[in-house]
Amino acid sequence: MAWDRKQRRKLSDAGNWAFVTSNLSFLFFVVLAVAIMIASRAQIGIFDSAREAVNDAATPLYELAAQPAAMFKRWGQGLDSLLSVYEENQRLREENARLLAKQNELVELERKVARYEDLLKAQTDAPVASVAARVIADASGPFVHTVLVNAGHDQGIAKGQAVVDELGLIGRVIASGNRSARILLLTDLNSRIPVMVEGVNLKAILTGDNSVHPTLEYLPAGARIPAGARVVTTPDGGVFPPGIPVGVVASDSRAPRVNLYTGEGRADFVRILRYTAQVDVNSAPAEPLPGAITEQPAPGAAVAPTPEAVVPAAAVPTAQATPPVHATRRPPPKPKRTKPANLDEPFSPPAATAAAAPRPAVVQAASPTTN
Amino acid sequence: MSDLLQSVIILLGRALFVSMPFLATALAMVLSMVPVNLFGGWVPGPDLGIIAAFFWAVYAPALFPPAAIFSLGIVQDFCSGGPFGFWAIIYLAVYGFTLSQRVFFIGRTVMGVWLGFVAVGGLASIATWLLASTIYNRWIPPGEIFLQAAVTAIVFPLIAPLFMILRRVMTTAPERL
Repeated sequence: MAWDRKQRRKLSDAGNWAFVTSNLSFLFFVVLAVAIMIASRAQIGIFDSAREAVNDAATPLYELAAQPAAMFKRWGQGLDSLLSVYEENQRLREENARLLAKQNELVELERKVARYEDLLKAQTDAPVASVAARVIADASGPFVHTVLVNAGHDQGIAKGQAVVDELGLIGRVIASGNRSARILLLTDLNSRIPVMVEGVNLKAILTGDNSVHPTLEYLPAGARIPAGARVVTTPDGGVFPPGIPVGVVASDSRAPRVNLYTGEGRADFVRILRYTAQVDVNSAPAEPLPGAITEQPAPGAAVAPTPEAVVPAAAVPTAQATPPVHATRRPPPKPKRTKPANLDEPFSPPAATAAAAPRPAVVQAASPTTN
Repeated sequence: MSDLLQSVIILLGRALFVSMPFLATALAMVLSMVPVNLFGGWVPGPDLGIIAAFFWAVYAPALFPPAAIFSLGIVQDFCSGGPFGFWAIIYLAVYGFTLSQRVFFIGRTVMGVWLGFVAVGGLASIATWLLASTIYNRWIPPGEIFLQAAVTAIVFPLIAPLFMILRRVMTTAPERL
C-alpha cells in the first residue's frame, strides 16, 4: 500500500485536478472525442459508412450470440405455455369460435369489395415484396431505440423501407450495410412516420419520444381523435405503402398517444417491405382512367400528390387545405424533389394534402414472397 | 528472420495481455446487445462502459489508460445508433472525475465504493441527459436515462468482482500498481 500513500499525498498536495495537468493523453482524447462528435454532427458520411462496415463485420458475432439467447427465450416461453396451457386452450377455443363467426362476414365483405372495385375500374394495390430478417442485436441506448437485422444491400434492403412484424409496423430502415441493416423503431426520439387515423380520415405524423406510446402530431387545430381509432400508414412521401397497421389511439386528447400493435415486446423476426414507389413531383398527372373518380387520387397510385394534383380536402377537415388549382393553366413548376423524402430530416407537413379515402391494408394483400 | 518473428509474436502477446481489460469489456458490451428482451424489452440494459470507467479509475488506472476509455466509448458509439463521440465523452468524463476523486475511494469498503459509484453514475446520467438534449436540440425525456443508471447501479456489485479477478490476473502484487 506504499504506492497508495505516496500517490494519495501527491494528489492531495497538487489538488484534485492534478491528473489533468499530469495526464496530457487524457486531455488529448477528450479533445479528440469532442472533435469526432462535432464532425459527425456535420453530416460527414464517413462515420456512417464506417459504422455500417463495422456492423457488417460484426454480424456473424451478433448472429452467433443471438442464437443461444433465442433458444433460452424459447425455453422460457415454452415453460410459460406449459404452466398456463389450460387457460391458453380455453382462450384459443373462444377466439376460434369468434373468428369463425367473423370469417363468414369477411367472405361476404371480400365479395362486395371485389364487386365494387370491378364496377369502379379501380386499380388494386401492387403486391409489395418483402424480405424476412432476424433481429440480431438490440442496438439501443437510453435515448436511441434501434435494432440490427441480418439483411442488407445484398438482399435488396435500402434506407427508408418499412419494417413490419406479424402485428404491424415497427419502424423503418435508417442505414444499410451489405449484410446488416439498422432499424429505427417507432418509439425512437427521431422517428417520424406519416400516418392516417381511420374513421375520422385525419392525417398526422406519428412522433416517437422515447416513451412506449408515440404521439400524433401536426393534427388540424381543434381536431378530436376518438380513443380506439385505428392508425395506419399513408403513402405520403412515397416511402411507406398505405394501410400498414400501426396501432390504436390510446387517449382522447389534443395530443393523442398511440398504443402500438407491436406491443411492449420486440420481435425476433421482421419483414422489410421493398416498396419502391418514387416521388416525382415534376411528372404530369396520370391520365384519369375511364370511369375513375377524378376528384380523388387514383386508387393504387402510391405516390405523393403533385402540387398540381392537390385538391381541397373536402372530406378531410384539414386546416391547411388550399383551393383547387388547374394544372393546365399554370406554368410547369420548378423542380423541387425527385427522390423519396429524406425522413432523417424533421418532417414538415405539406401545405395541403389530398384527401385519401381509407384503403384496405396493403400488408394483407402483400405478396408472401420472401427472399 | 525467426528472431524477428519471435519478437513480433512476443510484442503482440504483450499488447494482447495489456489490452485484456479493454478487450474483455468491449466484448461484454457487444454481447450485451443480444436481444434478450428482459422485462418486455422496455428496461434498458446496464451501461458496462460506466462501470468499467469507474472501476478502473479507482483500482487500476494504469491498466485502463484514457486511450482505452476513449476506445470503449467509440465501441459503444458504433454499437448504439447515437451520435459519434457521445459515449467517448461521457466515459472520459466519468473516468476523469473518478480519477480526480480517487483519493476518496481508495481503501473504502465495498459498500462505500458502491455508494460512490451510485453518486458518479447519477452525475453521469445528468451529464448524459444534458449532452443528449444539447445535441438533439430539445429536452430528451430523462426517464430512461435515469432508469438505465439505476439498472447499472444494481448490476455494479455483480460486474465489479469480475473486473477485480481480471485485475488480480493482470498483477498479482497490487503494491506494484
